[in-house]
Amino acid sequence: MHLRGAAGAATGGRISGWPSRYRVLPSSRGLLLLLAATVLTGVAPRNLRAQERESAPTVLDLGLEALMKVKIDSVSGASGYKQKVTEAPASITIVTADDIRRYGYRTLADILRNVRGFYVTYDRNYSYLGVRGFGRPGDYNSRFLLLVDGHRVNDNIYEQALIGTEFPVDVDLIDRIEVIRGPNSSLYVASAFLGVVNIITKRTQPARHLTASGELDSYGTFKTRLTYGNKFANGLQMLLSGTYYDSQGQDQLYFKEFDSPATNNGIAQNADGDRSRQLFATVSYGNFTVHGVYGSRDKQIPTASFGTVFNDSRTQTVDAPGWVDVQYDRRLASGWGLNTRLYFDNYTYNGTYVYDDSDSGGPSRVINKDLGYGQWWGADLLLSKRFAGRDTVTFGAEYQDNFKQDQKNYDLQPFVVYNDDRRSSWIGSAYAQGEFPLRSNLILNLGLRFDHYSTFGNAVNPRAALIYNPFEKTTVKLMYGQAFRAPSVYELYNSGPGSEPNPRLKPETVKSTELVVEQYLPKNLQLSVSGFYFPIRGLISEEPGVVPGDVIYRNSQRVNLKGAGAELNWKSPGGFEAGVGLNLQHLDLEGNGPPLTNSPSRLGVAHFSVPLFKGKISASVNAQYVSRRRTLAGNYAQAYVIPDFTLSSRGLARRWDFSASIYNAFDRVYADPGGEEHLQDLIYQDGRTFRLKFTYRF
Amino acid sequence: MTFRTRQSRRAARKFAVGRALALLFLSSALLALPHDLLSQDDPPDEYQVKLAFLYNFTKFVEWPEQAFSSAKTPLVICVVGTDPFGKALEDDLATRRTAGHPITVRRLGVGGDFSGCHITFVRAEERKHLAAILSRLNGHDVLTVGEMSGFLEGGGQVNFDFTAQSLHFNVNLVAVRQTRLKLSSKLLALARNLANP
Repeated sequence: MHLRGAAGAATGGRISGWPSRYRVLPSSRGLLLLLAATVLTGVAPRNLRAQERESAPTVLDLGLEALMKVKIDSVSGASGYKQKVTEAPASITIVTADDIRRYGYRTLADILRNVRGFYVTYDRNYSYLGVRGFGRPGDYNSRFLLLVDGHRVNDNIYEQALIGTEFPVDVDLIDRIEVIRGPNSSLYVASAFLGVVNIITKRTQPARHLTASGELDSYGTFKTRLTYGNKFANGLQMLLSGTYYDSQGQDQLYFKEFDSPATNNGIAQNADGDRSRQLFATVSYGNFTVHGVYGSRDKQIPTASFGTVFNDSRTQTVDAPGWVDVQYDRRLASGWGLNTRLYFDNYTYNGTYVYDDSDSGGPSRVINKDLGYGQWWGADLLLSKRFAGRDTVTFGAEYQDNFKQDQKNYDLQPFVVYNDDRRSSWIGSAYAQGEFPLRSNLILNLGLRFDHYSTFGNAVNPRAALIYNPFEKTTVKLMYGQAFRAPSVYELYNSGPGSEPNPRLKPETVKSTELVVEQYLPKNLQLSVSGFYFPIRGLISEEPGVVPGDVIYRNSQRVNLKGAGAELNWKSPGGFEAGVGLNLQHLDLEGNGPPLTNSPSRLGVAHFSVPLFKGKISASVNAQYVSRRRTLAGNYAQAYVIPDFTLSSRGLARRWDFSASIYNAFDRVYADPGGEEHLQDLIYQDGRTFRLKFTYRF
Repeated sequence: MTFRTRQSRRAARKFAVGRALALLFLSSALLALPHDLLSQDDPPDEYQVKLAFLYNFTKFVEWPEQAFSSAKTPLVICVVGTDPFGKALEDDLATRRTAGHPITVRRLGVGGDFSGCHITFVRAEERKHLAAILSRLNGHDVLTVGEMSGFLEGGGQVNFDFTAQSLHFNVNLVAVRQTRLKLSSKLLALARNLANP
């Protein structure tokens, strides 16, 4: 994302030291405050509580229409359903609000790293998602689509999906997440290359209208949230929420590559701060739903990436996405379902990078500003109908006008402009998808998608899937899908010292094949086994440019991803649950360009949760296993197993609940590979950290 | 182990004891306070929703007068197979009424006495006995509800179905017409499919 010094940083090849462990535990002052709050709020008049008990609604208060909208993430295999195909015939994992609570997930990155086949790396600036062993440092999460209630979060300049603290929606507002692996649905933008993560948010808080939540985490971190939700007599529902997050981070971060007297002996002081604020609003009335989201997150960069001055706490990035999205859904008289959407987005990236130009005769401290401004609006239309013979057809059309895609880069003093690029583009798409039962237990799903990008032209992508139920409790899915990833404005037009634009970049393409077998076993067990072959062509990679020392993006590489995975899950009605998942993958990379780094050949996830105190408290553990990954210097980030423990209540008291978590419980030292922009070959991650969370319902 | 690490480990251990105590105190303080009913963020599970559907059905189905000996006679939901609903839910149901009738849930085996049932919910595990169960209920004023494929085709009246992560129901009008039950038009309007096999 950053211009200056992009080609500069030579990798050190040495392993940096241990990170500082100070201020790991939440401050004592904070704890006392939490305790006081607990004691005070627990003391409420008894008769008032009894009164509230009568009026607290339960599922039995829901009417038929409401019941039909209740989302159930799994049904017991014993109930004997032929699990019908959802709109995206694919390998899907669902994460529910209950999972988020039980396992103490703090951010979307925490959630995704616990999904089978996924891994997350962090460079103390952004979090990056690797899927199926593919996750090169420096790829800004552009190969998967991140949606919130169907609204695209990837911006229109870098195509970046924000998943760490930079993600603009508080995870407490999430109702559930659908993780759809692979490019198997025409319904989604073709650039949903490696998959789609669709986050569905809560609509309202029907009973307790106002809730407040406070969290204390290690390294001087706290988060507060205030949420108001209500459903009115006339049918209007709303949810409004605001969150403020402030983390001091590690105030002393040690990097061995900078261990010399001139650079503070390798210690970056007070340079790991992370702060964000988020606003969220959903209003639904009748057939209309309006969503509004705004987030702004400010992160200091302690790694001296892009050749910036080490231990200058002014180097930071600010990312502020925001959007308004209006949907109108309706069932038409003839049985057709209509979904329409109109949206407007604004994305601002504001980076400050401090350089030392004294080597070339300039000032010893120069502040460089790196900026991105994106604005776009769009409209979607979807029509679907289920016919008498159980055929379902869906037609859709989409239009997006990227009327602003500006990138700027300049030094403040002396004032030098490196880049002032203004662009606009548009995308028009149309797709059709049909689901045709060939037999009572065999369904054929066909889809075709057409896209026109004003930047590079047309693309046509077919999809096909066969879903077969040979036995009551067995489902077999065979899927083929073609997809592409369009080059981003950043890859096409970024210019300035060290970077050359390439307006002739073509999209990357993939023709993926996947086989999934799902089996319901006795005793509430569910087994899923899958295999995939994912050949990517025209991979956009950084290569040396025409001028020595420069870099340019070209369609220069091919990658064949092959792999298999298996997952076993168990959920008992009593509240016990457990699961384990393993993914094995192999990647072959051919062609000029960076070697394959940060690619684990094995990934594993496991979780286990037991109910205590009549199910009002759950004790849970979740763990991730990532096998070793090669770094740019040819070293390895060692394999790791990281378990997290969480004790969490739900309905412990009428008015409040708590959660206590330990992350990286055994204080394992582990690192992620650095990118081209880092002197560090390995970037060490935090050790054991804690979180205490308290939610109060007014 | 470098000097830096040893120092931080010692400091962390000292902090850890104090903080662990604070945490212990906090949790015991929390547990000492009175507990109350379930919170509202509880996501309903499959059978909670199904019982809610059955409860709704009692409001949109009219039984003939002979079905109830008095205004206070309980409306009985019979479950053939394992009772999946749980005590908490059934206690909640017991506090509600439809048209003045209290509602109770009764478990029955295949060979049980169906005479007092107003609704009979046949569990999927009883699929092998479906024909036997339905033939015994034939012509009686009982609403038969199932949760398996083939239920409507076998002569059942209402079947649950699961698509796109949510439950809905289908109705076999022919089977309904063989009884004296009257299903409200609202119920029929919300049925996903009105089958006429």
